[in-house]
Amino acid sequence: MVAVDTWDLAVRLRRIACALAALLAATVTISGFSGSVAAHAVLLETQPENAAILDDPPERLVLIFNEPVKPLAVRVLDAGGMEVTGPEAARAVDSRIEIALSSPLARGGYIVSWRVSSTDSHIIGGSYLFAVGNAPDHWREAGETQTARAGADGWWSLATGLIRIPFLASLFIAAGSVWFLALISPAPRPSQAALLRPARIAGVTAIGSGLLLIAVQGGAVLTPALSGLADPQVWRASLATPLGMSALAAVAALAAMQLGLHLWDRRFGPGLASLAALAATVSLTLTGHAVVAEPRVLSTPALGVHAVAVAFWLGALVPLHAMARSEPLPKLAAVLQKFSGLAVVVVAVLAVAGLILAAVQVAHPLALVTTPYGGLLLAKVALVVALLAIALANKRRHLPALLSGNEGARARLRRNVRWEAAIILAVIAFTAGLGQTTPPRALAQQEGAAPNRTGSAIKLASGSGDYRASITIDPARPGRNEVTVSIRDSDGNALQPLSAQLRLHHPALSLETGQRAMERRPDGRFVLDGSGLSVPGVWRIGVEVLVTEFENVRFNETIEIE
Amino acid sequence: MRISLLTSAFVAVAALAGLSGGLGDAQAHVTADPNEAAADSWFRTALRVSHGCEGSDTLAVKVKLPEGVSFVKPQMKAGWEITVTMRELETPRESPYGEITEVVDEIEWRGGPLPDPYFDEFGIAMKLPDAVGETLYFRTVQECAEGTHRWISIPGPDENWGDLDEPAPFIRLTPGS
Repeated sequence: MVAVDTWDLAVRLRRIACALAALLAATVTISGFSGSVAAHAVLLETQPENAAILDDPPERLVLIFNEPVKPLAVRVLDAGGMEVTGPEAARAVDSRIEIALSSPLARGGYIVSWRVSSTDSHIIGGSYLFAVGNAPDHWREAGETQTARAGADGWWSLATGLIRIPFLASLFIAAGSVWFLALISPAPRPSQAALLRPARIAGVTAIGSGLLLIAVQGGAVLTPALSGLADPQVWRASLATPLGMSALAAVAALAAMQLGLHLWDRRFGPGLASLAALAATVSLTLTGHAVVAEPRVLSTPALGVHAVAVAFWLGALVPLHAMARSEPLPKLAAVLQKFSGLAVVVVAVLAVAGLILAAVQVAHPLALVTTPYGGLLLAKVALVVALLAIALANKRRHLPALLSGNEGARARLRRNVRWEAAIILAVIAFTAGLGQTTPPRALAQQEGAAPNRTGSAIKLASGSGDYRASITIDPARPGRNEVTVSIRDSDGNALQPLSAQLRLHHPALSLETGQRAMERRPDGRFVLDGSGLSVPGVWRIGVEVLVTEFENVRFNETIEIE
Repeated sequence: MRISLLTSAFVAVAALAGLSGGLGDAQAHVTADPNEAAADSWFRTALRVSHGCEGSDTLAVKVKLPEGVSFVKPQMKAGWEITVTMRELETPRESPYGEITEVVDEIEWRGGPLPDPYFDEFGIAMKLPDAVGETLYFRTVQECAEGTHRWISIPGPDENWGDLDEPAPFIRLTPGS
């Protein structure tokens, strides 16, 4: 083993520092965008309509979304919170979820609680009410009731976004290195052994982060406690989502690639590794925004080609960097020339594919500056332009210098290669951020259809007689919650009630908290911060507000805590 | 099997406690007496306050008159100061005695005190509306030295008056004689 001298160590440490800096920047970027997760699939319509009172029992229930979704947990409960149909009755048909009703529904009120995963693996959920014959009393007074919740995956979603970065980076490095070594530098095998090591390490890293990604995606689907990751159900749930499936396919292909790397000396070794690397890269097209964007016949291949081009570029930089140190100058110059030639084609393909994808996702050019997605995309493009400038410098300046036998050019080349790699990693980070952000195409479909969402909090409008209440439950999770109530009269004027009491009831488990006084704020709102909503499930909220000395108004609503 | 003396004592005490608890609840409501009258008639009733607030003396009784009653007069009461609040009608009401533009909105008796062990009645005279079959609710606030009872709950279409915690005293309008 060659001794590691201090200069070498310094270089390595600097490299690691750069990588960490890029990762930090990526974390900040992603957390900024996925903190307020905007779901990409949107519920457009339900049959029957929310708060509808039907004369006859419906034949089936339908939820219509703006894009195909996969049902994760869709249930129908009666007014007492008992399950009428379970998740097995829900079927996905195009962009709809259809719930089959095995027997006609009896008279009374019902709650449809739904949780679905869109094809770009984002999870949204909510619930709506309807009644057959008579609505329950508290619904009759309630009027407009819409319980709504944003993607209930908060932290898990952030983790998914973060783990995608090392996953993508290591996958690209591994695949690109394999192609470089197989196609561009068919050197005598022994000297290739040293170059194979980074590829092998990248491959193992990719497999590890891929498995972690599957686990975390399972967390995003079922939102268990951290210890719940050991539960096979979480893994099964993750593999039911496109992201989980894509990650599994990538991991399997990467395993085959590792085998090919191990057997590199055999005749079929490089071939196996290259094909497996191609399969792993292409598996990324199984999920993501591009998969749902129309026209699919254009966006899916564009994404595949885009990914292969990035992998080729990034992956080639690692062996190039190593070769720039040790290989004899003429040999290095020859390899670089060959690489540059191919790189021109790759860059052109990358740019065209990227433009197609951008055009599909950013429906309107103006959206580039008005939406977060557009902003991220512009930043990514700026980085790519910088990257191209550096790559061009490599070709124009360093190649002739190397050809003319200038040893000093080695160090400059290596430095430039490092810069290229760092920028590509930053671009990958921005890509992961794009994956967590709503593209303008989907934003346009959200307009008018999206109910009130603020993180995972539930916001309701309730009515009783002449008064309207606005009730917010934050964060609408089991455990500690803050319930805020504000009252208006029928003209919309804010009122200053004298006092308010809150009562919580969980019908299925017969849990009930007694009347608890809410704290009065100077602006007339009432707040109660407590642990009453202690278990998940369907809860009845009763708010009794003393609007005037002689008027006590009761608001009753039903919510679901997950 | 022989039941021990101790066990029977427990059962007896429990039964009595339960019974008295139940009885106590019914009597504790503020009610109107009499609570049935002919529609469109001149009528006199009284709000009976038979308990304080968990043992505390009653210091004030405030009642909000329902829509439709007119020519309301509270009964004079020694030791209690009366405050009458008027309300302007949006559309004046016709009556044999001329046009009514404002009516009594709230009556307050303040003073006493009325100790918990005693009951007292607060009289109101009025002309009832011509609405046979309707039930008028007289929302009443009982202020005590410690605490307040608000007898202001009105039962919904499928609820019983007796099931509510603090229901408002009512008067049922019957067909005239």
